[in-house]
Amino acid sequence: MDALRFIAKRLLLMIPILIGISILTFAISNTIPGDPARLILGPKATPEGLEALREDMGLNDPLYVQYGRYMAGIFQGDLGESTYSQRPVADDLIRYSPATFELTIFAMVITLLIGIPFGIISASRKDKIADQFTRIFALLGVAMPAFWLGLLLLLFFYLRLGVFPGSGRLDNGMSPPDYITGMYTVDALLTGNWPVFISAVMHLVLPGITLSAVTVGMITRMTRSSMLTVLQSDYIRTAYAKGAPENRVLYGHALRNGVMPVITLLGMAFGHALGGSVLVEAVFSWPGLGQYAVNAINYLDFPAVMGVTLLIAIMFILVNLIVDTMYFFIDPRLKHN
Amino acid sequence: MNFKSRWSKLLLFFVIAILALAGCQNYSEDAESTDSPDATDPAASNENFDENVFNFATNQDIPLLDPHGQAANTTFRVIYMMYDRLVTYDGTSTEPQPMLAESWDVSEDGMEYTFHLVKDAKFHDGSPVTAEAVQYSFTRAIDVGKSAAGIFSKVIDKNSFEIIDDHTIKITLKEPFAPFISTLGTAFANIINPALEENHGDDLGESFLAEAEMGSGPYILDSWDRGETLVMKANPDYWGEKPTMETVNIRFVSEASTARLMLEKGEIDLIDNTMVSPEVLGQMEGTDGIEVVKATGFQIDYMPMNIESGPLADVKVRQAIAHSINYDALLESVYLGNAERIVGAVPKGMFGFSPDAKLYEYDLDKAKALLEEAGQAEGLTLEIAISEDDEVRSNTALLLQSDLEKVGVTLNIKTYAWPTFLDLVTSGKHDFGLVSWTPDYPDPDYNLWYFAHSSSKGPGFNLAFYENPEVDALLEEARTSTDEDLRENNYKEIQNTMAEEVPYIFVAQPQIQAPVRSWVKGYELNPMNTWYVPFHKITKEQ
Repeated sequence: MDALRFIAKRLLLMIPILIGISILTFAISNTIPGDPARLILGPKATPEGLEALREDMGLNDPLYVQYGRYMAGIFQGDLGESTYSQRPVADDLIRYSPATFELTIFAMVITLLIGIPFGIISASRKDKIADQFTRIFALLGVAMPAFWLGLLLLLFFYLRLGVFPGSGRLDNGMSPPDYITGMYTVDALLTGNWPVFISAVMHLVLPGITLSAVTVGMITRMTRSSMLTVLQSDYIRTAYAKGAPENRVLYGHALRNGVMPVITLLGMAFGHALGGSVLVEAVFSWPGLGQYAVNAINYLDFPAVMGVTLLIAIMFILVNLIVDTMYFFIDPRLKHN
Repeated sequence: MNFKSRWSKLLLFFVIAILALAGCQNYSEDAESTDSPDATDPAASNENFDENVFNFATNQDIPLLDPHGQAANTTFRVIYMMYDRLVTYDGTSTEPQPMLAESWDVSEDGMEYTFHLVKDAKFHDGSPVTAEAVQYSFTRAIDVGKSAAGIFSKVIDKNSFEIIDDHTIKITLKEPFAPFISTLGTAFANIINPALEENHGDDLGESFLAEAEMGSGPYILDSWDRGETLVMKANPDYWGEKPTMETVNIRFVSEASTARLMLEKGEIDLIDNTMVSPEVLGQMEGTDGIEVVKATGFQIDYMPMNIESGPLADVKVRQAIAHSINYDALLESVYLGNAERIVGAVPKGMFGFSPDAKLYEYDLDKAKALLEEAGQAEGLTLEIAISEDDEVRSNTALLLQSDLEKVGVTLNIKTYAWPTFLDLVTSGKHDFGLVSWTPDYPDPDYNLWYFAHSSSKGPGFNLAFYENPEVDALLEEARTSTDEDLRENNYKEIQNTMAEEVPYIFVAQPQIQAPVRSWVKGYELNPMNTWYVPFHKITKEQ
């Protein structure tokens, strides 16, 4: 019950947060000097045509009127029309966002699978070779610019060895699976399309590694330090004293306590990966939200910029909500509180 | 020193060593990739080679496909292939050649144009291309009111057309417009199937045609995954010469370095000529299996000076600036020698180019003397605005900065995002700017009207805010005259006048350079139309 009330409260809180974000984004994008109508029409535009288009786009109205109109549209499920692609922004988001989410989720899976075990190993072998190795590995992950790492990976695994593809989401000439979620791996699995599934996974590997480099580093370091504190506590010493095997102590007793701050960080890491995907998408020609947002900004396509910002904000809030809800299941103390 | 820390130091040392080696590997990639067996070996058969499929890489997303919508060069590249026009610029020629119009007559006064259309041209749905389609296309272009209208609404309106028979149409201009035929070869003049009317909706079919094509060209739109690949298939029933490539993939590769790797691997056949910087092109030239195709283009890189206010309003100051630039060094270090110095707004090779316009030599003493005459001997501080993400422009600005410093002018470089830059220079908030410009049709009217006519000030791209009634009169006369000699003389005179008054400094006419696999044959760069890639004529031979 407590958990439900907590979730409901958090969902309600989303509304003022999103309104705040929308005001901020709207204000910022409109203070960028530049005239969207001029960008659409180019230098060949006639002054009358320009004026007509400005009127048509509602650019002559005061900013608060434009904002009010935009918000009124949102509550009716209308995110406006992209001036860049001439399509409804909602359609564009549905088309571009699955690619970004697929990549981000893939990167988070890598982060979990590598980051937490590395952190545990590092903590339990403190100052041994394994610890030094994982610490340097984590440091490199955090320190290496994604852009550079991506190019290095491409140079080696794509050009030299030819084991992984270099760009895009599928092999050239392969058609995407039927649209269900828009994530090619998931859709291919659901429709049992194995060649597409394999191609989609192969295309995810290099961008996934690049995107997860930073988050793996973050999670490894956090797991290590958190586990180190836990491992020094009395109950762990007791566990060892009563003769429990090391793996049982580490993964059964220590991890449950040690993982708490890591889970909080996971929510932040997800946000970090969503933001970082802009650069990674550029290196690997990944047709996702990042690419779409960059194009939108270059064309002063306000509806598209707003749409992307709001969508990412919602995702970020939701993921953090999920993360916070997980405490209820991991930490029994919260249930009785 | 204990054992553990020694180990960690050793480990650190190894990691650094490996990273350093990886770095070296990167640098010698060009030289090595040619002879290492595991890398792409162009001499041996390449697994990516397919003589029927052409892969083109560009970093500019296609916003929409409507020829009458918002103009984007990447859109031109594909709609040139999916539509036909009355005339076309073929091969390396900048003379309009017959396409849908097999011939045309022009009346004595230059007001009436009668076009005789080819009889066997068919749209992709099988319906014939008729005079009605021509009328429909131009009328829609004007009604939509975007880039295409900017060119045509000056000279024609919905009453300009007279359909004589199915394959003959007479167009009467509102006023004489000498470059009219030239404008009919542009992407804006593509002929659209009037069946589009069924999909007009409430926006003249703009949202429909943004994602579809209704043309008669050698290629048919097959599929389009936005931001990923646009696929065109050869039109089996094309009325003209049969297209050579069966499939053309336009692939979006946002990062030039990635595109380069894909080209080396043979996964890409040709990279967008606007995508790679001169420096990287230079490096690529040494790579086996890759060629850099070069051609003189009509692109000009120039620096407008805002002459409306401030010290730049004084012609002596502008002349001093013109004298203080080391042009040879600029062409050599920024363009790596792949550019020519130009005199004025008309590129070399175009009709009306004036070879006699004054060329300012690099002469610091003269520059200092001129500044002194202008009362600016104690020095000046000015600003140059450039748009971000362009290596040529930022390098040019740096060079100008060091050149001008020698005559006591401090130049501050300000870099802006493109929309902000555009707003800044068109509203006159700049001292200097740096811009590249390629004309849409090969006639001096295009460049000079935009650069020099007083009605184009600011938003019309007269970024110097230049105004000279004599120049205005010469431009207007040349635009409406059918006398080629008079036009040529007028344009030359304008260039000579502008060279004296220096509202702009024309920095360079760069070569167009496109990196291409050596197995690609028959790729020609049209100087006028650099985004026109003749996929229907290119072949691939290993």
